Amino acid sequence: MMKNAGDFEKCLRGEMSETELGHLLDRMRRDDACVLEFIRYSIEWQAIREKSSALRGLSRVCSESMGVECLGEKSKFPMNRRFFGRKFDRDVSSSSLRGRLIWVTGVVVAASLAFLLYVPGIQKIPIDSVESDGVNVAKIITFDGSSVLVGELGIESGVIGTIKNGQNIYVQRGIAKIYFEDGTEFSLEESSRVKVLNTNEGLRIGIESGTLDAKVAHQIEGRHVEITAGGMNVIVVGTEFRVHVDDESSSVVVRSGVVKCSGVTRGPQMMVGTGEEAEIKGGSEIHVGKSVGSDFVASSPVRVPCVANAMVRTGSDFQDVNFGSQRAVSIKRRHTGHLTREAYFQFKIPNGVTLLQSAILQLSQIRKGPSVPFYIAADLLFDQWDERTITYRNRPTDGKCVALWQSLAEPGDIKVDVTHAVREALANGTSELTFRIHSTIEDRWDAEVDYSTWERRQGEAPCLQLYINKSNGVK
Amino acid sequence: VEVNRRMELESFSVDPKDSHHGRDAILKKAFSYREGLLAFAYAGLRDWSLAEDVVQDAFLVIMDKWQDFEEGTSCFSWACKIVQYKTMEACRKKSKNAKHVEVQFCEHLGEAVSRLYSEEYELEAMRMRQALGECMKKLSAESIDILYEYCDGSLSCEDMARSRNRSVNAIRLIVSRVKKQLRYCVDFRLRELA
Repeated sequence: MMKNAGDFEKCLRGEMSETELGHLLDRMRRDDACVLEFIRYSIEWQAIREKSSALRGLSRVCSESMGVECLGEKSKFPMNRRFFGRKFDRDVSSSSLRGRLIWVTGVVVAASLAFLLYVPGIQKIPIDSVESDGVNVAKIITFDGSSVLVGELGIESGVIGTIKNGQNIYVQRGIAKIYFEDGTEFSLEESSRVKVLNTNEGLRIGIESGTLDAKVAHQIEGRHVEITAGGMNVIVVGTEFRVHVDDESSSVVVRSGVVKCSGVTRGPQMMVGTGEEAEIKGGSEIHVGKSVGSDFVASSPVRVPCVANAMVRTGSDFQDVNFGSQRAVSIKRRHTGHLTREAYFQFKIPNGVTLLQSAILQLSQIRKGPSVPFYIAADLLFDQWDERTITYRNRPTDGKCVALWQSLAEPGDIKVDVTHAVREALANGTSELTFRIHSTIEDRWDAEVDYSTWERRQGEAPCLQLYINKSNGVK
Repeated sequence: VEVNRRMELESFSVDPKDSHHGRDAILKKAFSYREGLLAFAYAGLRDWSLAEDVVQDAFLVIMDKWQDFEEGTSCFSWACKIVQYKTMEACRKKSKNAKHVEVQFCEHLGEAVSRLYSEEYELEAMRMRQALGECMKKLSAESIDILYEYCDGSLSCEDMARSRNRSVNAIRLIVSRVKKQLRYCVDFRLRELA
C-alpha cells in the first residue's frame, strides 16, 4: 500500500490547494522515492481512466465474437473465482470441508437446472416474459417518415438510437434498421413488433408480427441466432434470410446459406437452404419448398463511381484548408487537439433507374482499424459542394443518418446497404446525392479509419452498386 | 502479446536511406509509449484535455524531427524529453506565472522523470496495464462508471454522489475498495504470468 496515496489522489483529482501542493513538492524534493511513487501512481491513474473509458465505450455489450467479455462476467481464469470479497491467491485445495460441500451442492443444482432447460421438449424461458436489463445491445436507425418505438421511447427519423437488452421494438410506420456489434443487421418493415435478447448462447429474437430481413454475421462456436416467429423457431449461424409473421402463418425465405427450422414445441428440425422457403400454418407441420417470390431476382449490379470526394478537418490551421485531391480520407472524432475529420462522397445516379432492388455503398478501408472498433455513420445530403473548394468551415452538414457500420480490424472493403437513401433520392427526382461519412462517438484520439478516394487505384475507388430489377434498365 | 510486440519494436533498426520506413518505425515505437507519456503529462498538468493535446503535439514534433533521434539511444527517453518540454510549455501558459507552485511542481516532476524513470519501469508498467485491463473486465458496470468519473476528474465527488443518491463518503469508499481489489487482482495476475 502506498503511504502517500491519499495526497497523490487529491493532487491528481485537482483537489489540492496551493499550500498543499507546495507541501507535496517539498516532500518530493527531499525524497526521490516519493517522486517515483507519485509517477507510478499517475501511471496507474491514467491506465484506470483509459481502460474504464474503453469499457464504458463498449457499453456493456457482451460481444464474445470480438473478444470482449461482458462486464461483471466471471472468467475461467482461476483467480477470478475469488475476485470479490476474498483474496485472489487463495489456494482452492486449502478451502474448508464446509466450503467444498457448498461448492459441490452449487454445481449439482446448476447442472440440474441446465439439464432441465436444455432437455428436448422442455422450452427455454419464453422471450416475451423476459424484462429489459438495461444493457445496450444494438444501435437502431429509422428512415425518413418512420415512426418507431423502442420500449417507451420514440426514435426520431434519421437519428441513431440504442436498443437495450430485452426491449420491445415497434415499427409503427416506415422502416428501421438494427445493427449489432458482431456485424449482424436486421431490417424491420412497417407494423413489425420484435424483442431482442442477447444471451451467452447468442441473440434471441422474438417476432410477434411483421417482417424482418436479416443478414446474420458468422457466429463463433457456441453462439447462434435464434428467431421465434409465431409458431416457428429458426436457428442461424450466419446467412441472409427474411422472416414474415401474420395472424395465420409464419414463414422464412433464405437468400443465402442454410437455417434450421422447427415448430416452437421443438418438433423435427428441417434444413432450409438458399432459394428455399419454409412455412408453418396454425401449429401444423413445416412445409419446405422452392421460393417463388421475387426475392431471388438476381441481377448484376450497375457500378456507379464516385464523382467527387473530399476530407474536411477541424482546427484553426485546417478548417479553411481543402483536402479534395487526397488519395485517402480519414475519419475520426475528437474536438480537442483539432482532430475531427470527416469525408464527403458524391454520386450521380444514371438516368432511367426507377425499379431499384438494392443499393450498396462500397468503400475501401486501406489501413488497419483501431484496436477497439468504432461506429462510422453515413448521412445523406442533397446539398451542392465542390471537391476543389470544400473545407470544414463551408461544408454542408444538414443531412440525416442513413447507415451505420463498424471499422474493420484489417484493411478491406466495407459494403453498406443504402437502398433507402437512393430510393429517397429517386423519389425526390434527384440524381446527385452525397454521403457524409463521420464517426458517431467522441473516441480515443488515436482511433481513426482511412478510406481510399477515387484518386487512388481503380479497384479501391469508392462506388455505389445498384441492383436493378430486370424489367428496368439503365438508359 | 502487447509486451511481446513491444519487445519486437525494441529490436528495430533505422535505415537512414529509407526515410519513410525510418520515420514510421520511430513513430511506431514512440507511439507504443503513448500511455506512459500521457500519464507524465497529466501528472504535471492535472487536465486530461491539455495532457492529450501535449502528447499529440509531441508526436507531431517526433514526426518532424525523427531524424534527430540518434540510433542506439533510448527512444523512450527521447520521447519523454519532448513530452516534458511540451508539458512545461503548457504549464507556463496555464499558470502565466513562472514562480507559481504549479510550474515548480511541473518542473520538478519533469526533471525527476528523466532522472529516475527508466525504460525498464515503463516495460513493467506495460505489463501492469495489460493485467489491469483483464482485471477491469470483471468489474460491474457501475464500478467502471464510478472509477472512470473519479479518475477523469471532470465531476466533483459531490456531483458523483448526488447522481447516485449516495453520500460522498460512500463514493470514496467504493473507489477505495474497487482499487484495492484491482491491486490484488493485478498482483495476482502478474505473479501468474511470471
